[in-house]
Amino acid sequence: MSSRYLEMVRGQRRRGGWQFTSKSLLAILAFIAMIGSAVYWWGVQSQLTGNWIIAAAYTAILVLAPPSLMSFLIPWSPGGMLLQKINARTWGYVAVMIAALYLVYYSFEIQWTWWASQPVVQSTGLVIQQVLIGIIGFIIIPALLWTPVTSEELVEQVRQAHLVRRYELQTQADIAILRATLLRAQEKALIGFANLTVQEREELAAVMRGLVKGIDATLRDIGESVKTVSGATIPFNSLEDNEDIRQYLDFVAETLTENSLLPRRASATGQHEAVTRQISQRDQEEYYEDDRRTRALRQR
Amino acid sequence: MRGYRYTTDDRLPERDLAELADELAIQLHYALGERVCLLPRSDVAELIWPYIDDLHPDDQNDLVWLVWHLFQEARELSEE
Repeated sequence: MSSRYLEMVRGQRRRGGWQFTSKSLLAILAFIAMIGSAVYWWGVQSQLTGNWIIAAAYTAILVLAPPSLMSFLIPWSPGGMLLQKINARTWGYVAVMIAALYLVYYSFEIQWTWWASQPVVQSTGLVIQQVLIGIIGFIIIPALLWTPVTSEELVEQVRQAHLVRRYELQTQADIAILRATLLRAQEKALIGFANLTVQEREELAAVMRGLVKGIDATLRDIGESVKTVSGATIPFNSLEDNEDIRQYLDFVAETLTENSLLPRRASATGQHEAVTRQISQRDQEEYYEDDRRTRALRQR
Repeated sequence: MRGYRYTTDDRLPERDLAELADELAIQLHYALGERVCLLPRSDVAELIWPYIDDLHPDDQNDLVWLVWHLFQEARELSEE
């Protein structure tokens, strides 16, 4: 699905060297903020308990857990958005969301109390501003950098966006072709298929089903390629299970092969159509005669 | 009508078209180096013409656009 040429150019570029970007600056800032966060939380936790091991553990939790959990909630790449969309249906995502929100609330409350106890901040009424700066620096900035996907996948984010869009467009195009083909077949079945032999009709019905399977295979292939690049599984609904498509197929198959269900299959032998009609009428009469006998036996 | 794998006319399906565009872009890049990213679309058309002259006219036009777009994306990547 992806462009081999662009992959080649990217590969050449990756070997080219490192560039200082605003994201690199953000990474340095996040690193400094997290050291500051560790100092801050150690100061708070060591006041709450005399046991330094517990204080150190709580400090580690409050420095590392909020950004890592928040990183699941605020993706900033198309791949991350796709992952979030898919993960949103899992219980794990709900747990991550609850834990992240509680940790942010806890962080907010402690920082509020801490800043409110600082006389200058209290007197100038800057408590909420200071707390929000703390939340951004300690949690949001590191969370933006710690995306839940690997760095390799982050590089691929543009490709993923194209891939997802392409997946949608190609699926629509394939389904449109399928629908047009089936409708055309339906039309022909009503008008001109009377001239086809039984084998040809059965073959045509099989072709229709084969076509649907082919489209299914295409969709599965595209879904697999999305999974390969992004690690995200796109739920695949088989077209054969689709009620509308199944109705089309059943109608076509029924229209094409209903005569072939009659015994003897005179038309299959290549005999004249009039002979076929005579034999079919005789068969039907025999069939109804048998049916009457069966009913009479049942009534007895 | 055109899909990813199938077409209802004599044009190339989407996948074949993209693969051909990729292949042509790679060959041109190998032959001419980074300069290909600066080529205008008419030059790209002239360069790939011998390889696509047997295709449907619409496919030829699409291929020129696709290859040119690949070069533009490559240029954006190298400027990042």
